[in-house]
Amino acid sequence: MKKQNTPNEQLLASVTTNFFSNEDWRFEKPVWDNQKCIRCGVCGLSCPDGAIFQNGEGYYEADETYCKGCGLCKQQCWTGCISMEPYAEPPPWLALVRKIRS
Amino acid sequence: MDKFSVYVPKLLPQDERFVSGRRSCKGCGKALAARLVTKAADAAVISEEVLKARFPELVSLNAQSYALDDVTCDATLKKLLASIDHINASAAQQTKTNHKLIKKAIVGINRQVFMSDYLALSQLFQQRKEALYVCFDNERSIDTLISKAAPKPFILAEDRHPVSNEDIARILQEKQIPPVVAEAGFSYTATACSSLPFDLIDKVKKGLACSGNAFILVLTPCPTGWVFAPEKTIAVGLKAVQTGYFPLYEISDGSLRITERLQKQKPVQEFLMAQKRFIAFPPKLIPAVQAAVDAVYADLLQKEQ
Repeated sequence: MKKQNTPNEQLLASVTTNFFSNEDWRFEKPVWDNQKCIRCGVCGLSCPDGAIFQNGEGYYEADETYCKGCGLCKQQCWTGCISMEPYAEPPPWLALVRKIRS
Repeated sequence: MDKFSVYVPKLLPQDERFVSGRRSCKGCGKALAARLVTKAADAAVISEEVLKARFPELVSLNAQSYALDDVTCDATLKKLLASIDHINASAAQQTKTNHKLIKKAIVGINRQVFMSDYLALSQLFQQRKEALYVCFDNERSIDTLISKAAPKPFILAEDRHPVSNEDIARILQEKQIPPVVAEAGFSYTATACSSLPFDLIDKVKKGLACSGNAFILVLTPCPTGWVFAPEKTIAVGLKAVQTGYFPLYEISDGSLRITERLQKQKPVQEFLMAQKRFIAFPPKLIPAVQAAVDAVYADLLQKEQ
């Protein structure tokens, strides 16, 4: 039989569960070319994770802890200023998978 | 996205009320729709701090919905109804000086609930609580049709009931929930798609502003279930609207209005073949799907007049 949590524990669990990082499943990140960008904000609207924000100069940037690298922003961009670049370091689980396979 | 709406995103509220995280797949249409709903609701969304102080159960409701083996449907329903009551009561107590005006409770429902737990849902609708119900539809209902229509496996002798044109027409007709809900006494019902964000935001705002219950059915493309590349979520949803597969309309106070008219209707094949789950769908059944789609759209045009 499962242990019944008290309401306070349930509340804590809903707040403290680590939903808040996508660092280990992304392969690519969007990179903006600020010379082409017209700062329309369509990329920020079309992001399913709300991971794109405006920086101090008014240009857009992706939050790397939330971005999953789906590429919707690149597809929706009017000027084609977004390109997807692979990360220099692969996600940590990939090394484990390669080790098991070998 | 339409050419005229290039700079419109700047007019939307910049605050992010959607909690990002790993609860959705890459390029999830449902997450996008939920985020747009929170953007449209803006002030209607209550901050978590208020809830913690006054109604801690509502915050934990979200966590409990993942643990369905512990919680029966009745308990969830009771909590949901209680939370709607609480929000409506706090909306009535507000003064005009309060900046964060609470208008109405918003309830997100999965379309699958309509199939699996129809009685619970009708019980919810009979309560006549003032709320906006947003139903996310990722078309699980079509999967059974696809598996039935697929050819027999090699060597295996398997008898299947053949898919008839009537079956396809029935499944597409079942998708038209808003007219049925409107007859049940809802003052505002509509369909929307996550690929047309401004249309969706507009409809959510209308649903919040109207007096009485409101219901919005949202088509949410699912890259994992429909099998397409995650960057094509918005393009596939647009195809569903442009081919007439998922017509966008609204019914307010009994009068139906089509919000996205089909100027040049594309063939349904374009939408079906954009998804790899239709890869084994027999081509001879595609004219039947087209006929069913045309019939639904013609019916809507007739109702509009």
